[in-house]
Amino acid sequence: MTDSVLLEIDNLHYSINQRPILSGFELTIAAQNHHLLTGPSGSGKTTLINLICGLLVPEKGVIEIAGHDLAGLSESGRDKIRRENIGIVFQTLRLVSALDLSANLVLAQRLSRGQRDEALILSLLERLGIAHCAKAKPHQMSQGEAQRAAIARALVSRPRLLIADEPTSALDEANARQVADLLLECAGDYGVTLLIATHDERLNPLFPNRIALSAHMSKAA
Amino acid sequence: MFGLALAYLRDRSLTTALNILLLAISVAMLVLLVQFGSQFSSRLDRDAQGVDLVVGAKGSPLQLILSSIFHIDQPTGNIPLDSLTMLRRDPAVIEAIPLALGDNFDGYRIVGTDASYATLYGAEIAEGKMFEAPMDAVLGAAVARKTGAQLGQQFIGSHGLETEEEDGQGHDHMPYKAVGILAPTGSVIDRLILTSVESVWDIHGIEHDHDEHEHTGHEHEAEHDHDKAQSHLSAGEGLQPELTAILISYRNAAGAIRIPAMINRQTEMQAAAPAVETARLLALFGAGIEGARIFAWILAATGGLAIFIALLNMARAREGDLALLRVMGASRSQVFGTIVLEGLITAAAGATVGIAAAHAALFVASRSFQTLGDLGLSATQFLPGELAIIMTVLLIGIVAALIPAMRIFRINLANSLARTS
Repeated sequence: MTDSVLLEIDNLHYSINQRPILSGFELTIAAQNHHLLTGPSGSGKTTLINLICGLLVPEKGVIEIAGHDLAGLSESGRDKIRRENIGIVFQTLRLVSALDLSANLVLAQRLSRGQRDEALILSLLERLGIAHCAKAKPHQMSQGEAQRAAIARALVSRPRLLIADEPTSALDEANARQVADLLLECAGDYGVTLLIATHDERLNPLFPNRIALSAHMSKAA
Repeated sequence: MFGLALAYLRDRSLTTALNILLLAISVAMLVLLVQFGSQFSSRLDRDAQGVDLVVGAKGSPLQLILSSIFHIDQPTGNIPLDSLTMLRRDPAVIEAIPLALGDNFDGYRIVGTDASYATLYGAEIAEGKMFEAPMDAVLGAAVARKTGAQLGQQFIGSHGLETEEEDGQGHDHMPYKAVGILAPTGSVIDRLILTSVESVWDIHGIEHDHDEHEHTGHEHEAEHDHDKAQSHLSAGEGLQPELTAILISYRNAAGAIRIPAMINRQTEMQAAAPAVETARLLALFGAGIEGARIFAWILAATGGLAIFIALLNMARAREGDLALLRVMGASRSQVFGTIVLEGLITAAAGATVGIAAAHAALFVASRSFQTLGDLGLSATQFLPGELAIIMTVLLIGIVAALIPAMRIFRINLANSLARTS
């Protein structure tokens, strides 16, 4: 494990409709140190992820990704940090609907890096066991295949931090297990650090580091 | 982003195809209107070129022009032969070409004239020679092609502008003989049969002096037993050698002022200027063409509206996709550009299909309808007006895409992701 700090959050405040969701939140994630972000619905998991991704702006506090402070940046500046450092996997929103899988991967690479890396695309398709879907449209894939495709889409831009929001909640037992295993394996293979937000108990045994958000903040309202 | 825009268009190919069709129909209509308008008026100009004034019997000036320049109407009547001599003597007239009309062969008008008529249209002899002897005839290029007539072919003229079945008015006692065929000119002369004025007189049994080509104006005695339409003005005292009309070119601008006034005031004839009558004709047609043009533009606007609705629906239904694109690293302007590009591609496809369809229609029409071919409609001619249509349609496509694309700037990324993920 390296000691380099990938994500540093200090004294983070954010509220929705005057209801504090996060106040004084702190988190430090070192490279290759995978974390599970748990907590009941409404505890602020998605909000935290949006803040880290730069999709929301904190009211107060510092978010540093690989040494870059998001706070002082414009929207396009935050876009750039996200593009270069973060891959995101959502629960159901996986691929651009009009494009087949390989076109999706090429597009993701172009958008984030400005170039294409066929070798990486092929190795990811192979590694995630979805090479047979390369020419399939998103609606032609099964749930499990589509979620693995989303992981490929997130990894194809060679991010340093892979954030997944409920990646397994929509999947059955076998697929959930497979996706979780693949996430961990790929993280090792491609040198990516995982931050997975979930209320899926099935993932707990796989991750030693857990950040538990509690719902007590929202009870105030 | 171009590939992505194409992929999205393919993804809802039915809507895309319908939008393209809608635009294509309006573009095709507009192009056809522009083509008809321009080719029709340029054809009119070409046919009337070199003729400053037409002198003929009193009646409708438009009819005089239609009958003696475009050869699509009956003549107004006859004028005395000495008017030709009088006009040729006038110093302001550089050329006066006599026309003796009245008969046709297989729907192609037989024009009694002299060689200068062919020169007027720059028509050259492709085969054979110019008419010299009585009953010699020179066929226009279209006449020879359509009737399949060869040199030496004999044919019989019949009365009027159209040959009707069994109308029994043929001059079968005196057949014409084709001695020459003209090269194509793209003007009215292509579908005329030229012969000498004397042949027309002969066929109608009008006696005249064969040797004296430049008539001095003295009256000829005519036979009484062959009373035909050519002679109705002077039917009372017998058949005179007469003309139907005279085409005049001025030597100088002074002629334009003096000659029409002189003819209209001092003679029993009328003078009509082709330019004036053609303009009147176009103005008559113009109202109809204008109405059709407005309709076509409304259709184009409808096409734009259809693109607008399709893209607006798409932008709403695809909110998740658009958000995902943003998360994947696409900037707002890239996503914006993709949507605008979709509108632009649809419009471009519509314009291309429309132009192709219009020209294909022109091609088919000029092949299958004799009259359109005669009008000189050409399918391969592209006009600057078409470029303007294309540009306008592309603009419609862009404008229709702008408002849906604008939504991307209003999307709250975190919210749409929360809704759709």
